Amino acid sequence: MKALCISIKNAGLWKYPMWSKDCVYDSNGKTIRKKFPYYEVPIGHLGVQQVANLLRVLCGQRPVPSLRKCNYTGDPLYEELAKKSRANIHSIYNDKGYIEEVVYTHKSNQFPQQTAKRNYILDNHNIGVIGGLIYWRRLRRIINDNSLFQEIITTIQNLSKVNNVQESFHAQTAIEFLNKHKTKPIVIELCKNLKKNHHTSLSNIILNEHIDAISIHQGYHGINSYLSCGSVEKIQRLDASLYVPVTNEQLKLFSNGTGAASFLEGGFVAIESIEEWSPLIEIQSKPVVEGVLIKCT
Amino acid sequence: MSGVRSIWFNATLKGTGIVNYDGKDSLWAAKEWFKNYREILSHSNVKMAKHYIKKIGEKDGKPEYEIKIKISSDCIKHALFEEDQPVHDTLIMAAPKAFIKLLSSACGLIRGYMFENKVCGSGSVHRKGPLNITDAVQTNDTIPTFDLVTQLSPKRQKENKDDISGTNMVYKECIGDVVYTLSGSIDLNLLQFICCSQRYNRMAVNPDDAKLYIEGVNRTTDLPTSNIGHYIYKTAKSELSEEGILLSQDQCLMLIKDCFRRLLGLNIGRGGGGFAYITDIKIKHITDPIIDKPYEEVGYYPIKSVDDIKLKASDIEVFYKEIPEEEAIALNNDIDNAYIATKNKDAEDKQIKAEEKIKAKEAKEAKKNKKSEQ
Repeated sequence: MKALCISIKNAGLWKYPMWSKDCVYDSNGKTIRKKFPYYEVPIGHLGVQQVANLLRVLCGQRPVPSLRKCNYTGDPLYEELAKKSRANIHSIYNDKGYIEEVVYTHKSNQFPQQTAKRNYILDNHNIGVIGGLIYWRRLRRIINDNSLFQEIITTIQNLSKVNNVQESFHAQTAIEFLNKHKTKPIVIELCKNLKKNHHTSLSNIILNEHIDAISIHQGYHGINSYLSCGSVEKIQRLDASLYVPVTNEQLKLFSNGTGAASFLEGGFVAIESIEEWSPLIEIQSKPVVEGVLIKCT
Repeated sequence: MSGVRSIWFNATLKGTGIVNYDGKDSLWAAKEWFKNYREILSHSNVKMAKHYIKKIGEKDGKPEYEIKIKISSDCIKHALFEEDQPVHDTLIMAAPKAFIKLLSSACGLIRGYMFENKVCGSGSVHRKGPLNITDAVQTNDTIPTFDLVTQLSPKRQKENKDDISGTNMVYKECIGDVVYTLSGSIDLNLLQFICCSQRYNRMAVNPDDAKLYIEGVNRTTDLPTSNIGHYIYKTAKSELSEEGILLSQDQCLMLIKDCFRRLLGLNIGRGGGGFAYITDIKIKHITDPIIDKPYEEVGYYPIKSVDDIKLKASDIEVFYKEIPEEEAIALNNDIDNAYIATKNKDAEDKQIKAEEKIKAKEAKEAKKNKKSEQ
């Protein structure tokens, strides 16, 4: 009996997979990921399904989905090998898990909203308005109606007697300026039109009403808001050595592969060496265990 | 004799300062290894580098760890493909021509991608990148320190009496000259095949966009690409075909050279003063992973430019064989029929079970009625 030593580097485990809103598709159809079952592998061990699929890839075979229903079942030999395998995890861990790392991810978000608060001077008071920095181009996109946007410009023009409003005023200053003249009929008319066109939030800022409960772009869902948002996620990283007991015939199967594979999230796996199986391996390492299937309701 | 299945490389990076910072979530572990800085690390205003930790043994029943600074593989990949894809913007899916151009670029072919979309464009597509890179881990013995620095940010004010006020003072991990090493591989199996089918849930291109895509690949590689066909993975035991595009050996070689051109020019810079750049790369061709062990020094040779790569196009293993369309369709029909049959059987079983349940219920009710009559 020989031991195939495989090194695993930098394998990642998402700490909060259940937060995800996406769906899982298999031959049973669509399931929300939150309701989809998952395997919980005890900390300090590797799971049979994970290792079996890893061995499949190293042997030039297709991996088999461990949870998604699929017609392709794969060769059960790899599950047997995985059950006999031993793993030695080098990474530091405690009851909560492995060491976490922060990674930068990009997500598509259909309706992203800036949550930063900016201070506006409304009715001579410093008031925080949610929604980030507002500038003329953004204001035009939010309003999404040229005539209404032009109405705002002409209102400010009439009140301030300035010809080029967009050059003379910042968008935020312009809103504050409209707030100063909020009792004038021309501004009241403008606010009415804004409300009519579903821009109540902007009218509320100008009139200084219900400010705490609104954001600038409330109620706006256009194609331009389909954006890519950068955010950070926490991921747990682990390094390990895997020892697979193999016969000479089984060893030949690994010549079909490329000698490298990926493991979990961004993990890098490679065949390190071939040794004789010894009791020392069993002392140094822990068995590969069957994960507990957790069904979410 | 089989051809080259993968290409392995070891690289050395040199640099100064920290180029890849981490969050505050590993502070609990940092206290264990930076024993001199325990007081500092109990604060939350600490800016720490990403670390590589390895258990090296035990002393008095307590585990001992080796701690080194690292640059994550994600950071390296971002630096490699920054020119092609500065930002992963999913909005590009709304513009099909630009989107297919991105998928067929060297960045799409080597790095891989994952675009999930339900609204517009080509639907969800993803490609597993053939380029695997490990983290670049520090190899020299330079020891980091935690310096007190100021941060340019507005001071957070107390809103209530009990609030903690903000601070501009930050403890930042600093280090001098660092040498890193990394290893990696280019999986030629993943490189040469672009899947256009959903059979194994790895559709890289929507078959409807195949014409545009092939034009894009031709432009990227300056070589003609074969049309979409039905292919079987030679070593797989399941002889199920997949629709896809097979890159020629010359195209693969061109992409490998492009990948190493990027690696040779790798230069990671950080605004705070840190930088790291590649100094040398050694590569090895793997024909049999059991014989040519990737971690053995034998077989590696250094390269200074892409011209030093000794790989020939004809040496590259072709992992797929094409099968005639009729054969593939017949096979697919068999599978579909078998699938429909199992589904029908499941439905029949369900119906039988439901009928049995109803009968059992009726029998129970009849028994109850009899008892009540008695």
